[in-house]
Amino acid sequence: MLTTTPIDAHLPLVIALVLACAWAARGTRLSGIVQCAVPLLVASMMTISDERTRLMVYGIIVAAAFAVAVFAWERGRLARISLQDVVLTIAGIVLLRWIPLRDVHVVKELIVIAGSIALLYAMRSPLVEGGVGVTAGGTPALPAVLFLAAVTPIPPGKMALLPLTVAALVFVTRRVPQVVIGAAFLVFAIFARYSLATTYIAVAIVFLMPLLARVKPLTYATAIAIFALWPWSGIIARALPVVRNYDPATGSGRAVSSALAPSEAIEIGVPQHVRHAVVTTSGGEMARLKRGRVVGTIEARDTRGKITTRPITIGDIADFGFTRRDEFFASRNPLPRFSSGEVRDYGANAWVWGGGRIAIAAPADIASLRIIAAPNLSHDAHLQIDSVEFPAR
Amino acid sequence: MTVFFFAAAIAIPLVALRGRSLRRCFETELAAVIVFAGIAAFGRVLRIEIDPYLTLVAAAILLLSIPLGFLAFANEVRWSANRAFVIVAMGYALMIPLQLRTPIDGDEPYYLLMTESLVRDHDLDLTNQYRDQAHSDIGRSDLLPQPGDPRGPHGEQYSRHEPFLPILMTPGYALGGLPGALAVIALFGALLARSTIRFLEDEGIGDATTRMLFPLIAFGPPIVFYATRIWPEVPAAFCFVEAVRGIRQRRPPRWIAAIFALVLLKIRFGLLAVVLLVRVLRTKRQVAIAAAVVAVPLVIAWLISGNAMNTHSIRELLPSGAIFYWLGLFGLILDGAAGLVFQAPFFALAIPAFARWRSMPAGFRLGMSASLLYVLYLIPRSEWHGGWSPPLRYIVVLMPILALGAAVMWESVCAGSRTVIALWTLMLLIHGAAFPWRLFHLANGENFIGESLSTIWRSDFSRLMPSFIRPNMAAVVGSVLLVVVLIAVAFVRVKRPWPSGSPLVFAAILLVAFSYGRRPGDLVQFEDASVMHTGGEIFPAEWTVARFLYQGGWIVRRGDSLSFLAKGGRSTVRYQSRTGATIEVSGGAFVFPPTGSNYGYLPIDLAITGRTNLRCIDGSANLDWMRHE
Repeated sequence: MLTTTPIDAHLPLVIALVLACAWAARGTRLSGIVQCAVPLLVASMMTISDERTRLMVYGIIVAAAFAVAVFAWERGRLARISLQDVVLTIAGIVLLRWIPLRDVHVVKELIVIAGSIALLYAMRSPLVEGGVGVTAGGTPALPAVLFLAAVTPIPPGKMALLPLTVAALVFVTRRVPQVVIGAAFLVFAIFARYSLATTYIAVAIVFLMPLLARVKPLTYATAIAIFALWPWSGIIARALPVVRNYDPATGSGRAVSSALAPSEAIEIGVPQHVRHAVVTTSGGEMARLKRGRVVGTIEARDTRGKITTRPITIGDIADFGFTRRDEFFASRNPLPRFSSGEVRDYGANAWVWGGGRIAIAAPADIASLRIIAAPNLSHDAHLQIDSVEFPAR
Repeated sequence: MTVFFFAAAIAIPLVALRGRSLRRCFETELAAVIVFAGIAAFGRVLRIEIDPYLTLVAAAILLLSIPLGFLAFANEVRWSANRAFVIVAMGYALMIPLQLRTPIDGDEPYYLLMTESLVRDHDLDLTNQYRDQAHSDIGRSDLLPQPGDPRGPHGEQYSRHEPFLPILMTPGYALGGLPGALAVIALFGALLARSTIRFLEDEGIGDATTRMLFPLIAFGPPIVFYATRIWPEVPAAFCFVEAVRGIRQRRPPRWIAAIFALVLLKIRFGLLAVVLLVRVLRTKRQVAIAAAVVAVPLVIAWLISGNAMNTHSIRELLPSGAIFYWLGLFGLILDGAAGLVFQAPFFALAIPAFARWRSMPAGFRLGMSASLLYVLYLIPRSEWHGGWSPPLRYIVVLMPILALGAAVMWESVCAGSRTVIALWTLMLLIHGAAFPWRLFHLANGENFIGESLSTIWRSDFSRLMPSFIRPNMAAVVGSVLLVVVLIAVAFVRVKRPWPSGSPLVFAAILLVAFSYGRRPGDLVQFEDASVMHTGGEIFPAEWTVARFLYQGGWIVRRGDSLSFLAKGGRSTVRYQSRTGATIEVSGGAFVFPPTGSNYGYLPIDLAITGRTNLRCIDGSANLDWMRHE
């Protein structure tokens, strides 16, 4: 239990980051509260045996400590970047991007940190804020910076320059209404592929901060809720909509575990008196296929001999590993509309299995179910049938 | 229930806050709900399986702690003792349904039966109530009279408990049944909170400190649990603090009424009354009144039970062995299951206050000196820990006075320690609210923390918690440390609070305890949670009356086995067996000779340090403990 996950193994690092937050809040009466995260983390490690529950509790404790430290430091302070800001930014980025340490590209990550600090500086400059004397507490810049840092993809290595580029953009456009630029990036996000859309949205948030600052409780609460997921920070970066798209199993399932090459088919036995079926499927070597591309078909033959067909498209399913850190940027897949929501790995390496749940309904009881992989797939692609379930009507 | 929690989350800020603080509080509450919803949504994706009831109770308590936090720290507040009363009343109204998740327990059903008898039969004869438990609100059908309950000349079955509390609960029960009866107790709880706030103000505690401590006093254990269950302790605490306030303010009608009610609630509280009365009597008239105050409850007790002292006797006041005083006194402070430090950490701050007796407020000195006789009577008793009841039962009555001492000491406690105390209190509150049955714990030397850790790690963590019920080394170490702390507090004065690093010290202690606790200990108590039992049964049986008077153990018969961590080398097993037994321990067979009804000792050798399996091959034995030599 002590070192069963990379997060548990990195608990000393996490504690060190919490202590950095406590240092940032020193001199305020809230510093003691931040320090309390340490015994709480230790107590959680000692008492919660379920792995995911324990990590979620770690997430909540550290997010609360981080929020208190930010709040303690920001309150009533003039809008100038300080050492405390830098410490909090670095602590947040390390928490979101550096666990597990073994997979960290140090130079690129240092560039991300430097860019993020530059962005914080650019966002805090008086012209952007509206004049000297505006308190830092007026604009929640840190959450936006951390979110952009979290979603910055590496690889490709050049994307490590993203925060720095955005910082430059913020600085250059500081006389232009920020909301307009933010809105432009939102429009880009709508038309961009999924793997770029998250980046565009993060950039848009940076520019929309003056607007978001008007609904501070909502902004801060969302930021804390998202930050609490740091034990799965890869999900924050690449698959956050899975919370919306998650579709839990509702009936008895049957494992199939079969991979179909192009044009291959598989017949699946169906129990009696079943009119609905849900097939959980993912793709292999399909990360480059765009939304809407048909990759297979489900055929349900009912007891009257009528065949109901349902195409399987990218969007219904995705490549099984397209949200992995190394694959994501180059992929063209969106998250499946109804995702089975299987979260794998931890920290910045966390990813969601690309399986989608596809429902098919027949007008009469289904006699047989057949799944066919599309013939025009590339030779190394395959359609993976994970399971079939028959929900109660 | 969720709706009521949200209603309270809106109502409490409206009562206690104003202006910007009010707006900020609502914003924070809204933000907390959003955070909870977001985390819950992701928890669903992760398929985190956590007790939904515990989650909801914890979330609700955390949500309600937000306005209390604002009340403690914000500048724009609406604060008075009466507002505190309203807030506490709302809080207790929410707590009552949580406590009713399981049937009432301990002495509670007896008080309720008496109330039912008063409402329905207008008498205190419980014969028909015991006969017809199906129509009672006690929630069980197997309730029997307690040993020693008095019987009337015509076979009437009375209860040993004083009837004043049932009389007080009568209107509430008549209006709302069991929840109505509990509402009466909760009303006394709210009055207690109000009086305690007034008491702190009277004794010179600053407004800011009082606001900060108010949630810990009113919603922290033990008061919150006794204020929402049927025990006379909270009404008694209210009467006691009112008596002390009445004496301090020289208002005889107030203290006479309060002391009279106090003694009516429980004869044992007469020991508090006697000292208080001795301190205030000036005239012959006052002596006459005081005599009446003490005599009337004694006469009532005599009329009901045939004994003016009810179930007590004057012999209980005679000195016992010194060891019992140590066990009781230090146990009430340090015991893991029944001591202030573990079960009510805020009130434990009052203990160092004794070391600064002369600089304490007069109200504290009056209240605590008045309780001297009561404490001296309580601590040598075998049931000093309260028996089958929520923790700290017998000293709940002293809590308002201890709160004053703790409030004085609070000023010299660093922010980190304050936070640790607040978080620990929050944990106890959530635990007791979500699992009310766990407030009752067998007095077996373990507590819920040690048991939980022992169960998770299959190692003896209970040995790290001081136990004065089953005295252990941690109790000795804890006692020495307490004495050292008291001496230090008495002689070392710090002008500023200690530096705020105590959470880290606490974390370090946790880590050290954690690594030490996972190693085998010198002593294995066979009935403990750290031992994996396959077959056999606990000794004495779980519901044995006054079970704490027995030496515990685990009875094994042929085929039963135990598994535990033990140190290699020579150990001695303490056991009792009428027939003798053959027991295999780590591959070696040992013959346990018969011992009759006495306990015997058998040396055994263990080859290795680590997990040890014990299996009964033949016969049966009650295994008490195994000690490494």
